[in-house]
Amino acid sequence: MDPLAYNSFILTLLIFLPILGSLFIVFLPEKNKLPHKIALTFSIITFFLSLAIALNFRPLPTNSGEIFNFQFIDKFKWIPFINTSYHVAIDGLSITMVLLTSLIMIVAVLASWNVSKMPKVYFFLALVMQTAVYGVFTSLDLFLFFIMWELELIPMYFLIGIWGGPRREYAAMKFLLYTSFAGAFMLIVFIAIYFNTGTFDYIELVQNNRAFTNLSIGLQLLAFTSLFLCFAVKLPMVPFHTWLPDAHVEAPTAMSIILAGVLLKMGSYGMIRFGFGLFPNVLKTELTQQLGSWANVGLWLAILGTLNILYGAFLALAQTDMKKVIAYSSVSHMGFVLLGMSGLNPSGINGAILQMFTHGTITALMFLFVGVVYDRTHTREIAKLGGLGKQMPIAGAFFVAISLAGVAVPGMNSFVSEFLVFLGAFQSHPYLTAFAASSVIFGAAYTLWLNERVFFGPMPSNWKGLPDINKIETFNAVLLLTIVLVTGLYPSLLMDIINPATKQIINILAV
Amino acid sequence: MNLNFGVFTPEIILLLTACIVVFGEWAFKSVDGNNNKKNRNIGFVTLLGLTITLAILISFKVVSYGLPTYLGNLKESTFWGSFVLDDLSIYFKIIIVFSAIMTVLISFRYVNEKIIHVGEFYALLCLATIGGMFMSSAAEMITFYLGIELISITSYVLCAFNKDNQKSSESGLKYLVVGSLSSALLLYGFSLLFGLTGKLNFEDLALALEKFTTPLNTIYVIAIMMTLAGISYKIAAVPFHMWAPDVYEGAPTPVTAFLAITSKIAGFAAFIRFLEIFNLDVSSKLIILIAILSVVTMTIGNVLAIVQTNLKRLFAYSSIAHAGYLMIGFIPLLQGKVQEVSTILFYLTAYIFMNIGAFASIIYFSKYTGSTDIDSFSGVAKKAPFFAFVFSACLVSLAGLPPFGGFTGKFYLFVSAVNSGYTWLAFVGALNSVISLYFYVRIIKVMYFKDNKEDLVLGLPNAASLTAAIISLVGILILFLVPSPFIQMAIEATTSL
Repeated sequence: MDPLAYNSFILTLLIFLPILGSLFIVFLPEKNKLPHKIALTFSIITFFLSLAIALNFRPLPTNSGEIFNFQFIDKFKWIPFINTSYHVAIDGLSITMVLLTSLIMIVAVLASWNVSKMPKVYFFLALVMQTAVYGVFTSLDLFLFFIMWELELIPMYFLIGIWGGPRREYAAMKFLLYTSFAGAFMLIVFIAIYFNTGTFDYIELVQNNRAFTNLSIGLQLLAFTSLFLCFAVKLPMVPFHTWLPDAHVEAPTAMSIILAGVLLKMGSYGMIRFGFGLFPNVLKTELTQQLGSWANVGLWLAILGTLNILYGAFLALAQTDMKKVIAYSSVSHMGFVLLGMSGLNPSGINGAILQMFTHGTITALMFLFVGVVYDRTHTREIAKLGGLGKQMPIAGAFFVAISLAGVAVPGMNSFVSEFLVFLGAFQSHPYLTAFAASSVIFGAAYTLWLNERVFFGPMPSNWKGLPDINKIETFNAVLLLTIVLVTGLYPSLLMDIINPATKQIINILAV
Repeated sequence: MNLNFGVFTPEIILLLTACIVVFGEWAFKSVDGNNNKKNRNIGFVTLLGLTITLAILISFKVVSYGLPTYLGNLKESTFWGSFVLDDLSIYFKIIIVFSAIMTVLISFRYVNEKIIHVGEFYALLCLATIGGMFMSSAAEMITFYLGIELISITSYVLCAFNKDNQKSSESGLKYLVVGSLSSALLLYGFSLLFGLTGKLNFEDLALALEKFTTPLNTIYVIAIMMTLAGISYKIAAVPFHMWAPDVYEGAPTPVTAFLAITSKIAGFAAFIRFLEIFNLDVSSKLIILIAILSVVTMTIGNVLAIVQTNLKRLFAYSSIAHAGYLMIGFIPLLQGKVQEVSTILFYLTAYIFMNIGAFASIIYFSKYTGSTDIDSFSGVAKKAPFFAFVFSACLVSLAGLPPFGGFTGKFYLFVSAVNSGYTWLAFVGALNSVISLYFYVRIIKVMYFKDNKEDLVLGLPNAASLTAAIISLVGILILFLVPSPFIQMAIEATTSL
């Protein structure tokens, strides 16, 4: 695999393999868990393919002034009348997310091994969604990116709406409307970019920095804000987060894992790639001299990030439903991504990108174990649970380890990412960061408290005889926990890829 | 020689088809009272006639490239300029006839079972199609009016074709009353225009009207308003949309499909022809009016569709909303950028496919559920996965989401709106798509999420509607994946404007 060869179709193969798998599922019979097996096979193949791509990826030397490190580029003209092309490639930021997607997909397919209601449709939709997510993380054409972004909606709508909990229809519709409403903003900004520059191509737009050179800074700020709000809904950023608890709580376990593990990252990915990439002028500090101190975008990011972190943490403390605790902890942890970005310096952005990865792994684990508890007790009400550690010692042990990862204990990968985020944000916004850092305490409080109320203490007698976790669940837990530990103890594995990507972004911002 | 009957060939073929079909109703009459075979034969003859018409139209299209003289150098006007055959009219005729073919395909079984005089039904359908074809070719006010009347009068009868159904009669009568009013408005506007200038031909009219533009003559303004109102009735644009829900609901479902698709396309053809007569002075003043009407139309259509419980009513509002989206395409036309009319043409092409797929499914499901209420479709997805899938795909496409042609069409329209300096209009359009997503997805939700009634048994679909469903699914996918050839054709069609 030569990463620098053009039109090698390797990345295209990766993107469309899941669709191929979904066709197999449609046209083969449903017996003997065949859909499950096909989905698993394809998710394993895609995982190894994305691993191979990652291993062949050549990061830039960190001191080069390059702004692009795109490899495995596939580019074809698509609709010449609107000057759009099928243009995909990966760089350090993309490949991290692609790896995460492939990994989470395996876990999600295994976690849905017991799906018996229309398994054909279920795995068909899941695989179509995988393609859409790969597309989002690799598209370098704004038109293609928008299509992939919207393509992800409908499968997820069905996956929540058919296989979800009691209020699934409401939650699915809310998810759909929130995200597509946000998408309308993105659409208009992209069309406006096209109108001003005549291209949808990301590389051309950034290279010539001509996205908005002929527009006033006020309009640039407006466009940036619209785009930012669209991604903020997906992130989700307070106050646009209300779809998330509903969607998480009603979604089946595997879909919660994908939703929290991968889909939320689409928001922060979009902010970094398109928000920062296309609007470097908006993020410059000189802007405050031009427009007044309110135009300090970095400060706004920090404020919103801090708000997200603390608000999410407080709400997580108050929840009575296990899944809701994790859902709000997601809100809180995604706030770290915002805070990291607000630093606009290498360590902050490094931290933000790494936090996207670590949150994906850890929150997936958490939802996995909520699923484990729910499958056995059929309740997520914390008050009804307790002492499960006695009955399910292995599950209990795992959950303690996961909780430690959740509160960012040194040795876990979340420690590295949160540390980097604080380090980066502190340089730019010391007071806010100090304030946000108090969440370390709240985070520990809600996670450990949840752990204590569910797995420790006296056990209600009706939970006697519950089986411990089975082989599939153990495999999932071991797989993810290994990655959490390995990347926690030896972060360079990922940082060697992420750091050059961050450098690129810094270089774009410095232009 | 100004009497070139060659340009009429498609219309003549179709007229012959209509005659044969009416004749066949009598000729094929079976002795034993079993009309199935007769009905099927009549349907096949109609289909054959329409297909030959389509083939001739396509050959016009093909021939018009390269060959300089026969059938016009892309523009042939005949009968002293009253009938014009140019690229635009050929494009419109192709999509009109194609949509008529698809309508016949989806109505095969329905007509067989519910309609008593099958021959008349198909004959009227052919005549209405001819009316639409005339509208897209009219270059002069009388022809224009005749085309509108031909499609309208046949539509009134078609709406009332379920003779034992009160709602159907109501629908026909309502359409008749409202349609006559709109014809009267149109005719009044035309008579004022004729009174001002003494010209009938659009080209002469455009020249003669120049002197009334600065300062703007009051009678001229009244004439414009009357005429626009008359045509707006045809495309069901707000505030002339009130008839649509009642008429759509009462009419036999295939007729509803015809009104929503073919009739609307013809209306847009007429609208584009008519907007050409204004010079830039007037049209720049019209732009803001059209923009506002477009916003109001799409918003009212989408918002009112939310509360509908009947699918046919819902599709009436949906078609109103789509008229609103399509009106965005008039703005570049009024600014003199005729090439951008291709956005309307491309969107209408996608519009055919997604509506045909939807109506094919409605006709198929409602045969077994016995009703077109949304709730009666509960859980049909488990019993008929293919049709439910086609229906869902068409609905998603109507809402303007990828990966379907409706998305590309809408995107193309919005790009042209931004290009014309109307970013806010594109934004309103995008927000409207989100609103529409709510009610389109609600149908999908009912089909997939709800449990079905135990006693509901769905039979096998017939070959014709299955074909139509497959064509529409493939159509919306192709229009998304490889839109370029279609956009290219649409752009070529606008060169004659």
